[in-house]
Amino acid sequence: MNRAPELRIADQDLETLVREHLPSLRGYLASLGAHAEMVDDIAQDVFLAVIEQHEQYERDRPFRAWLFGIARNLVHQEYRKARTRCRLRAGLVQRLLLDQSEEDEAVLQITRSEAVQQLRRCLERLTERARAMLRFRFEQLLSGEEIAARLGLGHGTVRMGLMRARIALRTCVEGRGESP
Amino acid sequence: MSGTLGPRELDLLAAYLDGELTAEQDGELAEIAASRPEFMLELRRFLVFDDALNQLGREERSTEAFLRALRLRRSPMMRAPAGHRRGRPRLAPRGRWGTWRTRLLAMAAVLLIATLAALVRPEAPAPPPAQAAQAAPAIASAARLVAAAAGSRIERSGGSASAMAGTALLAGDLVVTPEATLAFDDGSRVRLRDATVRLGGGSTTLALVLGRLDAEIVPRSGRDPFAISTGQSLVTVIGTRFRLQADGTTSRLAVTEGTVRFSGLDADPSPLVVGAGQAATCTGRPQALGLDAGLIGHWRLDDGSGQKAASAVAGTGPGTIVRARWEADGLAFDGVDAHVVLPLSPALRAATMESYSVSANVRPQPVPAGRDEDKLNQVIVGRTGYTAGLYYREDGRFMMQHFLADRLSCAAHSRSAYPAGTWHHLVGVVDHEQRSTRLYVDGRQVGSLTWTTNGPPFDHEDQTWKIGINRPSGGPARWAAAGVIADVRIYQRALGADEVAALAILEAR
Repeated sequence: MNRAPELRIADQDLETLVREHLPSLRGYLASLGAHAEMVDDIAQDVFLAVIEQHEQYERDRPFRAWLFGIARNLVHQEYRKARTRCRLRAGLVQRLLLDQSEEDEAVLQITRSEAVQQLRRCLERLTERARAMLRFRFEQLLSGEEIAARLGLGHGTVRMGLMRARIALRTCVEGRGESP
Repeated sequence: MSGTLGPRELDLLAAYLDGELTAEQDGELAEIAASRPEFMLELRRFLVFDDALNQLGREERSTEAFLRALRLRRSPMMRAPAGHRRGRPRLAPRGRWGTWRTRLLAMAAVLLIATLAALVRPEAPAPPPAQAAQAAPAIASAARLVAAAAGSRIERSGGSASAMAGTALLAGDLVVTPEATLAFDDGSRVRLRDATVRLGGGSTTLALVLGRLDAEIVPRSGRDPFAISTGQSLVTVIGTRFRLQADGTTSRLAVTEGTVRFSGLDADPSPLVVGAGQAATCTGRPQALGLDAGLIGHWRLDDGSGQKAASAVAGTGPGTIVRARWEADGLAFDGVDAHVVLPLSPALRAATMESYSVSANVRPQPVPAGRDEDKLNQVIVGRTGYTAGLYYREDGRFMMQHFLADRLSCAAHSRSAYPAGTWHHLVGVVDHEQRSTRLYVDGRQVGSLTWTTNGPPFDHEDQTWKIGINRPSGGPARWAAAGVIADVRIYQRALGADEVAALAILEAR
């Protein structure tokens, strides 16, 4: 597992840590129910905590496990104290996500750089309409209703179209034979 | 993986991922997730997958922006004072708090502090943040809250408390509020709307995490600018008024007075200078939005007196006021026959034959009792005939209507109703290239219609544009507006979503 070579947290070290661990940390925070637009803000809090607590890091421990431990505690704190959970998703499902907050390689597989490259290739194989839906949803953060209005489709069609595109992409990225 | 999920489960999962789950569906989904671990695993994998799609194509840019923002928050200017930092929670996992050496040092420090504290004053339980802020004059305040709506809160040192007017704020505080006003030591004021902000150090710096702020910054030295950061940008000013909005991917700036320097966090650091009445957006590199381009009519309706509404566009004349009366924040219409007739310049005459956009601020009122004509529509800004323009309807919905030559109505309606009595910024866009009508309320698209025919537009010939009425001569389609209207604009082009959002910020009430 990756380890921080020398945790003095000089600017260079910080940059190295961020470059190495930000993708998986983002994914981990997303799996804990962090809102898409708040993932980076929480990740910054996590790295600020790393800077503050770096002396407590035990070098014989995997750094990522320590980092995720900080992230997990921070999200749990946020959930407990916040009446309106502005940085986390709302609802009953959120509680369940926090109950299952153990680090899981299968969940984070897509955050690996080779998987991201494969995702790019798979995206090109989608239909133009599916790509347009994904572009509106993930580049422009439009709601399902807004996408439906842009494409002249029904809201339900867009919702299921997006879901089908996700499934096709995951199938393709995970190399299970089906192309999108 | 889809093979393991039934159609209902897929539907719920799709709604959850898109943030469209109702409370009832949330319960149903939670029940499935709790009883089926494999479903829960899929849900988590899709959440991470969505985040990967969010990042796709901007990983490097996004990491650079992240590093810049992190450095900004780490810098001494943004760090909390020592007294404040001592109170921060330990975030490391339980039971793994470091080496024996660290623990011994920590225990010694705790003993020393406890001894000193006992000598100085009796021990007291730690107060919640709001009380702590008022009771700790030794810690310099960055700003204070002078107003805070219900539901506002301050997060400090791992605690959270309701935010109240009068609370002193410290560097590092996170303020989450539906509406609040911050006052800084130098007299500068920042009004927050549905916002999350983090207070910086000194007396000047603020990070807008999410939401909107209206800033009124008093003049100060160029060496000591007021600086506000967002996830994508840095705004520095030395005395001006502006509005800034941030979401997860984009920052939007609209300047109402003076000039503002607008820099991206992950691009060329040379700032864009944005002047009064101008707007810019930033997703990495700041970009000016030409809100004057294609503007063929602009009546602010802030004259305050007289029978003419001044035009802010050279070459377009003033509007003629008929029985409407001035109020502090615009021109009031009685819902009976008050209106403004706009001059028919060549550009305004040709406007509806090509792509065009109409915008206005409106605080609608219900049609007054006793009006015996058709109460279905109120025309906010429109062109008489087969009336093109913005409407407020009896059911509380807004509408942008456009007609084709075969009298075919191409109207976009808001899906929701907007109760009377509240200001809203409306933009109606008619896009002949995309053959669509779009309606935006408060910067967000709320309705659209793609035309199914290719006919030419309806020719209004010499009919004028009017504010607050359709046919002044009366009859069943007079459709007089009730309420206050301001900031009317007409563009000879289809405004884009970014421009609409910026305009809504610039002219927000």
